[in-house]
Amino acid sequence: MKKLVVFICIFLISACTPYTLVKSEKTDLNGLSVVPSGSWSALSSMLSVENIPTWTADGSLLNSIMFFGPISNEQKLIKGSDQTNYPEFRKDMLPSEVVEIVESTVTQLYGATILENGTLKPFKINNEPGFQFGFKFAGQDEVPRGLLATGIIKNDMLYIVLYQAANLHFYDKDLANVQRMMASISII
Amino acid sequence: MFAFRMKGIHLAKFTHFATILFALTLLSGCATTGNKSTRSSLDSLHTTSNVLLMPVDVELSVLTAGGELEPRADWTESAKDYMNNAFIEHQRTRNSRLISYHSPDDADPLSGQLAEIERLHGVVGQSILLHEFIQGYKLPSKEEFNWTLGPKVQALKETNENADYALFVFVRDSYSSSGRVAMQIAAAILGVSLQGGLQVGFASLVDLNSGEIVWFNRMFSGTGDLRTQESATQTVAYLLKGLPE
Amino acid sequence: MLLYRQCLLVSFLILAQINTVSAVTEPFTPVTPDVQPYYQPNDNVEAGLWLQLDKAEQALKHSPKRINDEKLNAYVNKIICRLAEDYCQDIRLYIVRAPFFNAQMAPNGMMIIWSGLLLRVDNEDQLAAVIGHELGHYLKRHTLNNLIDRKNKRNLSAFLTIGLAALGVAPAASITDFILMASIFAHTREQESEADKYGIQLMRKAEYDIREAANVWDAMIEEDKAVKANDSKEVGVPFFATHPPSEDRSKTLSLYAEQLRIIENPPTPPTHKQFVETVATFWSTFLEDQVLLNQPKRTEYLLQTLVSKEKLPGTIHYYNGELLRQRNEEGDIKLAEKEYITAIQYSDAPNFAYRELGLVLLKQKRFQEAHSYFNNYLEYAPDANDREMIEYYLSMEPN
Repeated sequence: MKKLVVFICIFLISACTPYTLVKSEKTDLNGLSVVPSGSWSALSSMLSVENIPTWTADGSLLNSIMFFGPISNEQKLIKGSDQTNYPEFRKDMLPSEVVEIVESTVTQLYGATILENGTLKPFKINNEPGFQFGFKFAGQDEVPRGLLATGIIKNDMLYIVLYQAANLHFYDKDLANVQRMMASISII
Repeated sequence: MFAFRMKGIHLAKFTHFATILFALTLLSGCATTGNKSTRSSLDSLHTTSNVLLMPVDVELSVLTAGGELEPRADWTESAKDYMNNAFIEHQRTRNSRLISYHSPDDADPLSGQLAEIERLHGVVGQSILLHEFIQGYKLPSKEEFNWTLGPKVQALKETNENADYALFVFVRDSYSSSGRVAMQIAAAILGVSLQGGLQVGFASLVDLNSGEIVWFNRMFSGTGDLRTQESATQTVAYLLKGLPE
Repeated sequence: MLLYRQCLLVSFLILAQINTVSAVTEPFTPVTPDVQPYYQPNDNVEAGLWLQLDKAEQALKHSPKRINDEKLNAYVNKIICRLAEDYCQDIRLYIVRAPFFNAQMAPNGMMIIWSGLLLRVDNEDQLAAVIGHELGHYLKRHTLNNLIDRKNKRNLSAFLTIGLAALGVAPAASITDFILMASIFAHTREQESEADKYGIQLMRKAEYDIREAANVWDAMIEEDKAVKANDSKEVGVPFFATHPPSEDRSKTLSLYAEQLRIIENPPTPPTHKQFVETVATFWSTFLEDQVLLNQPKRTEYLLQTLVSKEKLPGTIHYYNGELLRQRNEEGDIKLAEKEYITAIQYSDAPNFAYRELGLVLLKQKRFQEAHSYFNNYLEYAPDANDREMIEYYLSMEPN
């Protein structure tokens, strides 16, 4: 259904702008702020999964950054529908458990298989205790992808930023910029 | 997957997503072929360059009266031969040497790497179609034509005489069955336009050192024919229009 | 050669009839193949389908989801060839990581077995039953005939369009989509019956225990019932989308078993041991994939019924603990703790059990005990990729 909307949109070009340039100044999104690094385009809400703010450098088939938050107790990262089983966040979760709900969400969202687990470590978000982790997966398109996530649970709410890109060349291409952006995150 | 009416034009059912993209490029007012390259003036590549021709990803189908695509293996096999002949002819007039692709054994670990490169090329190709050829979908953060598969494409050089460039070609072609043609004529009489067969394709030239896509062309036509040598040669000419010397 | 073998089989079966103790009203009439070994497409339509199937197979060959383990592939290939005999060279096996009970065979000879199937079958004979069933579909050209039918062609194109993801607009696939894709290979009830029969026939010839065929289907029906009974919206079994289940099936299979029965109690073939040895190394991976689906009712059912329960008690208790910890209802954390404690008594428990024990103790603010288990984990898993986070947990103290 959404695809049909997109196609209709294309014919009424004046009524919609699929991508806008992300300005290189501190940007507030959904309760967190980030300083962009590098050149990114923001997807319009019509193109983003469940209106979650999403940026891309080369198109979302190749790379994207999604900004989730604030997710409150017993809320899901992706709401889904009657047919889906996305897991819920709970405010008493430890970072290891947040990894689990992200893996389960990604598995279901992309029909994916987790290929490899990356490191999980503490990460300071504006000097507050957060975490960072990664893994490799392949979705229904069979393209291996790398994922890097940075998050924090603050005031019983989860904020998490997910970067994912095609493993071959693309993941590394923007990694330095992405890491700079993740280091710049603060919770409003 | 679905059919819809838009401003009195009835579009046939597209089962292939790439075909949808191609249709959009036509409807958003782009020319029937359009190419992009990384340099505004097309420089010569090298004094004599070796161009690796990747196995052509081509498929010919019959568009039945009911609007469904039935792939034809016999047409596809001969189309591959005709196109290969046409590529060889085309290269003869230029300063480059065409190398045919040597594929490693399945057991060779290189074959996994190459599969990943080919898959990535498919995704990059789609991204280029979406963001460079559909009006309104250009990425504002990407002003120049700047697409790459990354330097790991060098793996392709190893088993292919150290080629300088790789040429990827993708074509999907459908032909009206006689039932369909009859319907078209009937529809035309009634003043309604029906899609006949469609020919969609793209070609990309990849620098095998950097992985950069130095040239990309998209083709969309209602009249091309890959079932004879003569018209296949013409299709190849369209596809390679503007290919750097 | 083939005709001779069929004559042999028929005589064998007739003789078997005479030897059976119980009276049976109908003899078992053997099924004959509609394809020959080294089969190639007959006409343009078939050739066109093979073109697309071959392309899909190329993608599958190097798919990141494919399980390439030599030992596992060799083992399953051996079963295939034992059942398929003269057709062995026409069949190419692909085992994929997909946490559902399913197997598919395409007309061009590619056979796909999903990891969820390998997780669920109890022994080699049950695996042979499913493979035999799929071979039955292939030998009677069921899938080919269905694909040639116009309605399914459209779906085939969509299914085989590997590598084309959505515009990034909507989630690429819910589990339902995944299941619908499998339904491209959907069969009619008549085809199902025929494949059941052919499968049994092949099993008997290859000297497998044909009673296990009924057991496989019964187990799947039980699983489905148990999950639905809990008022769960957990999605169904892809296999049932393509192989409509029926209560009659068990009865029919049992009848065939009666008709073909020679030995009352066949000895356990040595192959059962090989099954456990070969497949058990993957149970953890398969269970992980199952847990990620976030279908706790189904996972719980599996943990109670899997044969691995006896073979890998540490692993089972560990996953019991995982389910409880993730459910996190009143009292679950304490129950999870008990499961992990039990798990680590067994040598097959994963190192993660120590870490999870640390986590649940940490959540109960029992810091000292938690730290002790975290240290165990780091000791047993020196290359742990979450070491830095565990060290952070170790630094957490009561405030």
